[in-house]
Amino acid sequence: MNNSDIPLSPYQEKLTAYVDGLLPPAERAAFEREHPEAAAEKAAISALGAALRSHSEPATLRHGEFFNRRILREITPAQPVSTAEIPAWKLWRLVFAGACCALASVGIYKAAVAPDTLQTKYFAEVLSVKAGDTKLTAQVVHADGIAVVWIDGFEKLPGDYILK
Amino acid sequence: MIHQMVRNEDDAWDLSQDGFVRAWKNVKSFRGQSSFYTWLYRIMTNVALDWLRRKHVRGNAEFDDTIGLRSIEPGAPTAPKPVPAPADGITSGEVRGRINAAIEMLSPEHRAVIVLRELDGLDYKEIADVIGCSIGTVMSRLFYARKKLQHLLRDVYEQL
Repeated sequence: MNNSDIPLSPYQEKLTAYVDGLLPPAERAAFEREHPEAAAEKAAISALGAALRSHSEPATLRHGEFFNRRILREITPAQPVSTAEIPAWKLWRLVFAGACCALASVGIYKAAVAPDTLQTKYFAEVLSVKAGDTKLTAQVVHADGIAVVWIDGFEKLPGDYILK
Repeated sequence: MIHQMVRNEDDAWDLSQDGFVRAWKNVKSFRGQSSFYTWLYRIMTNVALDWLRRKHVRGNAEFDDTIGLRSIEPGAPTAPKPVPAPADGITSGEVRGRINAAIEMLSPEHRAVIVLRELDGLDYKEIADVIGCSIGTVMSRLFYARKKLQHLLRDVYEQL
């Protein structure tokens, strides 16, 4: 049960005003004459109030900056970011930067990575062999960084023959 | 003031922050009918009262305002002591603990008027403005809150 708002009797109301020193002098004197116990009540409530005041610790703000920052964060309205507000020149700059990155990646790959992936400096491959003599064969041999075209089956190779 | 009402420093700072934010958001509703100080005080008091009421609803089984009033005539010059007075006095820490415990036994409404009147020194009119009730209601709450504290703390303040 909460009797916070129970109306006071006239005596209780006067007593409360008397305790808080709110009665006019004439009324106070008459009240003290009629109710001699009121002075003791006033003294008791004064002692109670003094005890409450003397043993109530004031709160000390130990982290004021943090406190202020939290309040500022709460009261600062959030800024919505929409694509419509992004200027066109920023988009073009992004596209240009992306293209530069792509070109640089290709250049770096060609200059540094791709050569290492080749086994030899020279590359040769026999795609087909067309000769009247079926004993004639051709193959490629890769070794020590060179490619050798090995032709087998000739009875005699002309001295002025130049491989092209 | 909030600290005195909620009796816990961390909760008090959180509620102070809520109060300042609420004041910021509602500053347009301030029409100058009372001083800005009173308006801000009202917001802070309401924040603390709301918190105490929620805490009350969540199941703190206190705030029985009839404690000490059934058997005691309001305004009686003396009241029975709830606990015997310690023979060798009482330390400051114990006094603080007893006062905290007694204030926590008060309902949010009683706690508010006690804090505003006894600790913050507001007069009846200011308290009525802050809480948003009549002066008669303030006097009634003050009367019963004091009675209850007298009942709970008589042995404490009689020794001081």
